[in-house]
Formats: sequence, structure tokens, C-alpha cells
Amino acid sequence: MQTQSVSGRLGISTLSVTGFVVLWQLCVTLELVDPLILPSPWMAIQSGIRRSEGGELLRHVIASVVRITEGFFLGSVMGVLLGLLMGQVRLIGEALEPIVDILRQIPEVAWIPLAILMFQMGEGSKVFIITYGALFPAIICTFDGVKMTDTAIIRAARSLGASRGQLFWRVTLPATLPHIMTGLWIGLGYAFRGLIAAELAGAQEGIGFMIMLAREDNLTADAFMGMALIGVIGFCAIYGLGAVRNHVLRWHESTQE
Amino acid sequence: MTVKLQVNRVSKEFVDRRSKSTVRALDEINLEVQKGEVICILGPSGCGKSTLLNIVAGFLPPSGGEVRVDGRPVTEPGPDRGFVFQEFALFPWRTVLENIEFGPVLKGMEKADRHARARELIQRIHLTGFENKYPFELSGGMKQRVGIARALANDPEVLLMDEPFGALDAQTRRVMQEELLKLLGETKKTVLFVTHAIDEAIVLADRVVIMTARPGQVKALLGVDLPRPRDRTSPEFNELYRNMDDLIRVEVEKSIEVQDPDPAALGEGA
Repeated sequence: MQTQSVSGRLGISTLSVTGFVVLWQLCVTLELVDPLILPSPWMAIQSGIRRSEGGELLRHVIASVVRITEGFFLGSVMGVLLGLLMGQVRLIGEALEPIVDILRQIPEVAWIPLAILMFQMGEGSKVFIITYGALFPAIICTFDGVKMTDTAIIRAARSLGASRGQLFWRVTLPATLPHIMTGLWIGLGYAFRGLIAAELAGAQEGIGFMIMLAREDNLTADAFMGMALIGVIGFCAIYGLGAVRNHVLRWHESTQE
Repeated sequence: MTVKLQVNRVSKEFVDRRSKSTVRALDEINLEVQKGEVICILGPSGCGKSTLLNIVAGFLPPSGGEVRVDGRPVTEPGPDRGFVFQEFALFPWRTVLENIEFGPVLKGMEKADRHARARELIQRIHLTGFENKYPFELSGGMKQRVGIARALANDPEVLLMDEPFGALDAQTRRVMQEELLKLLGETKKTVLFVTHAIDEAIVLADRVVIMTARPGQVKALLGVDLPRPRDRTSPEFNELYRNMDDLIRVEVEKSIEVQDPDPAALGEGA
């Protein structure tokens, strides 16, 4: 998990990303690869400009961003709450753990046909798939985190006079935060996978839908532009979540320089 | 003198998960501690001395017997018995000040009052300027100073210390022992202090409990009648040291014999 944001590190990142893009462009310019199979970055940018006319591209981006935000938020909140409940109430933990272990092994992609049946082509099917992806890492990491809370710390709090409620809010929850953040971090990856898969399979707008259309029209540059956009949006999401993590876990050794 | 703490025929048995056999850790321990007394519990590793402290704290229930504080039986942990842990057990998400004021926060004390109390303790443990540091930014000695201050912030009459300086280097240990004596001199706490270091026990204790190898029993109860501050190089100190060493050595040898035939090592384990 990368957390630092030193200027030196930023410089290296900029350099490596630029180098990668330049190398890719060179491969196409020097005709090492067929541009119809691997379009150059420049072709992708041109396609982006072309698609921006009339706000078409923006409409797709907004549709995807709204979906991922809703789904990731829903899945994370439900997952953390369920994980905490499972960790706090032993009976619930023991009852739900096998169900969670079965459901988590079913890839969110496998739910797409059923989701479309359940929600038709509406937003529900997409949000359901994304939520499903984000849900399980959040549940599992939170649940593990509660179970792994240091006994000595619990004892310390009890000997200082903590009631059950105080123990939960003031000890278990903050002690579990690093695990919760890991759950969200992993869940974000699943959420993105779910988003694009759902949009490829059944949507009227969104980046995945745009990629699907481009494929049908043999417009590889457009497809690549869409994929690059996913990468950029995903990068922003990771960067944002990393900033949240660094703030929430500012007491944790891992967030230090 | 009034009796502050009574340990009446306390026994403890654990069930070993691997072999399903019952292990007797403590066997009918009796102890009476006067108010303001410092008692050190000395014994070989595995003799159950930490288990005894955990029972007094209310972290573990005894299998038999009972512990009484001010005549009332102990059933659960409480702020009347402060606990200091070998591995510090600070709250890593709370700063030095926030760790120390944790007890007062739980009681709902006004912010100004609890800050004043925490700051006074920070001054007494020489950590002024470190109020807003997180535990990971502190050395071991500093962490344990915070651990002690956190326990004292509730102003408990009983202080339970489980090898509190065991994780520190020899020099830091000496300094911490002196500082603890100063703190105790100012506060008049009743202290149960678990250690495996004989010199530490003689420096700190009014009386020393020497325990046998498992199952732990009280082997001897020795008073330390040396004037304070105690001189580690004096003949009296060394005579006492030799006496205790003789008593303990037998138990250490016994505990090694008991532990040696490890079922796993002999291929009988799971």
C-alpha cells in the first residue's frame, strides 16, 4: 500500500508514467505493432477529443463515476457494519461466516445475468454488481480486525473502567480501523471490475458501454481511450482513498515517512 | 495497619487445548497485603505469577478461592485497581495526553480537569513536550512511563504491575525503578509487582513473595527491612539476594525439568 506523497516520489511517478506513454507511442510510430490492434496514446487522445463533442464522453464518465460512488459507498458501509456486528456478536459471526465464505467466492461478474433479471436494465443492476464487489473485502477485513484486537489493549481499557459500549466505540472500533481501511482498499479494486463488467454486459451509457460500442464498430482507438479513462479515474479514486487513509490512520506507523 | 487486599486459597486450572489435559497453574495461594505496602512476586517463568496478577485484576476468574479488595470480592476489572502491562498496551491511536486521560474520559470528567490531571502526571513522569506524540514515536521507557501515568490517572488505591520493566534494557530499568519509588512515595499506593529479577524485588518491595514452580504456591514470604533508598552494593542487600537466589534456583531447576519433555518434541503431539 503506497501512502507517501513526498515531492521526490511524485517526481519519479511523473517520470515513469511519462516514459511509459512515450515508449508506447514509439512502438506504434515505429510501426512495431499494428495501430488497429494497439492504437497509440495520441490516437486515443484524438478519439477522446472527437467523442467529447456534444458532451457524449462527459455523459459516459459521469454515469460511471456516479455508479462507482454509489456502489462503493453502499458496499463499504454495509460491509463494515456487518463485519463489526459479526465480530461483536459471536453467534452472528459464527452463523454468517460460512454464508460469507460461499458468496465471496462467486465473482460479481457471475451475478450479471441475474442482476439484469432482477433490476432490468436500470441503474440497480450496475450498482448491485459494484456493491457486491466492494462488500466482501469490507466484511472480511473488518471481521478479522475485530477478532484480532489485542487482548492487552482490551484489558487495559476494562481496568480503566470502560463499559461495554465504551469498549466498542473507544477501543474496538479505532483498533479495527487499519483493517477496515485495507478492506476498503481491496474493495475499491473489486468495485471497478464490477462497474466495467456490468456496463459491458448491459447499459445504455457509461465507459464500459462506450468500449462495447467501439468494439462493435471496430474503433480500437475509442476502446483504448475508454480503457485509459478507467485507469485514470481508478488512479484518482485510489489516490483519494489513500489520502483518507493517511488522515484516519495518522497515528499508525505505516502512514509515516 | 488495615488489610487492603486478600488472596484467599486462590487456585487456577487451564485446559490445554492440544492435549485436552488440565494444567494446574496456581495451587491455593494465600496472601494478605496491607494498605500502602509494596509486594513483589518473584518466581521462575511459568510459575503462574502473572496469572495470579490477572486474577487479582479481574481479567481471569479463579478456579477456586477468591480475591477481596477492601473486603469486597473481585468479580471483574475496575478502576480501583490500576494495571501496568509488560508490553505497555497503550492505545496506539491516542496521543500521550489522550492515553493518560483515558480513565478520566470514561468517567466523564470535565475536559479542563482531566487535562490538568494528565499534564500534572506528564510532568511527574518527565514527558513534558511529548503530550501530543503518538506511542509509536516513543522509546520503550517512555511508553512505560505513559503506561504508569495512565494507570495513576484514575487514582486507584491498588496498582498491579506485570513485569512492567521486563521489556526494557538494564539502564532504563534502573532509572524506571527509581522513578517508580518516587511516584509511590508520593502517592502511597498498595502495589503488587510481578518480576523475575531478584534485585528489582529487593529494591522495590516491603515484602517479597517467592513462588514455587508450577503449580504455583507461596514458597516463602520475606520482609525486606533495608533502609531506602537501597544500596545494591551493600552486604545486607547481597545477603538477601543470595537467600532469594538459593530459594528460587531450586524452583527454576524444577520448572526446567517439568518443561523439558515437550510432547511435541518427542513426536507425541498433534
